[in-house]
Amino acid sequence: MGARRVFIIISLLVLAFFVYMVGSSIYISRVTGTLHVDSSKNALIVISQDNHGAKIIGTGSAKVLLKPGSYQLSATNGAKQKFITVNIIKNRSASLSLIPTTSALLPSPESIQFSGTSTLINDGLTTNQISDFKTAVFYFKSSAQTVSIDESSVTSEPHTLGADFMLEFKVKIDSTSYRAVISYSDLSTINLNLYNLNSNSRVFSSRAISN
Amino acid sequence: MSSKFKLVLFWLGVIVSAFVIKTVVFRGGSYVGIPKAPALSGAISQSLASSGTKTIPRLNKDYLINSVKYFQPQSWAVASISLSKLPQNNAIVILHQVDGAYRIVLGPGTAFSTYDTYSLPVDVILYLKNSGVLIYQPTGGQ
Repeated sequence: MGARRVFIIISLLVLAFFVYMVGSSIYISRVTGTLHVDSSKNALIVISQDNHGAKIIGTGSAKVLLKPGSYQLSATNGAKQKFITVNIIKNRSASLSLIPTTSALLPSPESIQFSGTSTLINDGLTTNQISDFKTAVFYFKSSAQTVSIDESSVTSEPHTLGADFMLEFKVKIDSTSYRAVISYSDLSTINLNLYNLNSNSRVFSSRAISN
Repeated sequence: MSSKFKLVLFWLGVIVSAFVIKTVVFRGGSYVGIPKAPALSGAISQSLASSGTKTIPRLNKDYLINSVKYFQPQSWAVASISLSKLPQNNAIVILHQVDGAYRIVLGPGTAFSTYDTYSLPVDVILYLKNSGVLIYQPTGGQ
């Protein structure tokens, strides 16, 4: 008799578990939206929300059900991270690819890859003025990825007393080439002017820059 | 096969089918609920996540938020954080609100070069200067 009672209680518990699992699953599926994220292999996928914490939802890829609302999604792989804001709508599916690409979130002169600046030092610029040059290019195009100086094109004007020193060269900012003219009168300040190679019209003037 | 054994098998089947139904209803996904937490803690934890680990830093367990200063009026935030085990060692993180959500754009760090801060608003730069964490550091030529 005792064993039968235990069996009935266990049966009821299993039944309650079944009803709870199925009921809660159906309820959750009705009040949530689905998010499917694909990222690079080993990328850690994390989700957070305003005034809430953060949670890991997967590595490489993830499929989750979320309450409706705005979420901040990130994928991290080594030093690279990528963020995106997603809006989850009830009973709707969202699918996205999130590949970590950038390590610097805040654009700065340091996030631009410069090449050929040593030539400018050989032609008389100081390291401070090189920093000024990088800052000037950043002011011209803060989203630039690569800046390449054509080392064979660097020419310096003969200096005349009382006039500024001048350096002229071709510079490629991402995929566009410009004629660059740097003028300076001391060892810490420069003025960078960029000209369109075809029309020779001035497209940028940094005015005096001194870091 | 005894009737009791058949019943045990039946209830085991019920348990398994509960999980199968859940998987089918969730279309292979899993429900994720994010617990409530103080402002910026989610963004900070998320930004400090690193691949190769199975956990992310948690507020009050791994790190503390000592103070938060908002700018313009809440587009930017400068937070002072520290490790829970070393609360006297403060670091600064700068957060920017993009599409309604904050994310760390600079830090954590105890000092920043002026070079890193060109994209920051003037009042944030001034605050960092006054806090003594902004230093001049030319990068030189290459």
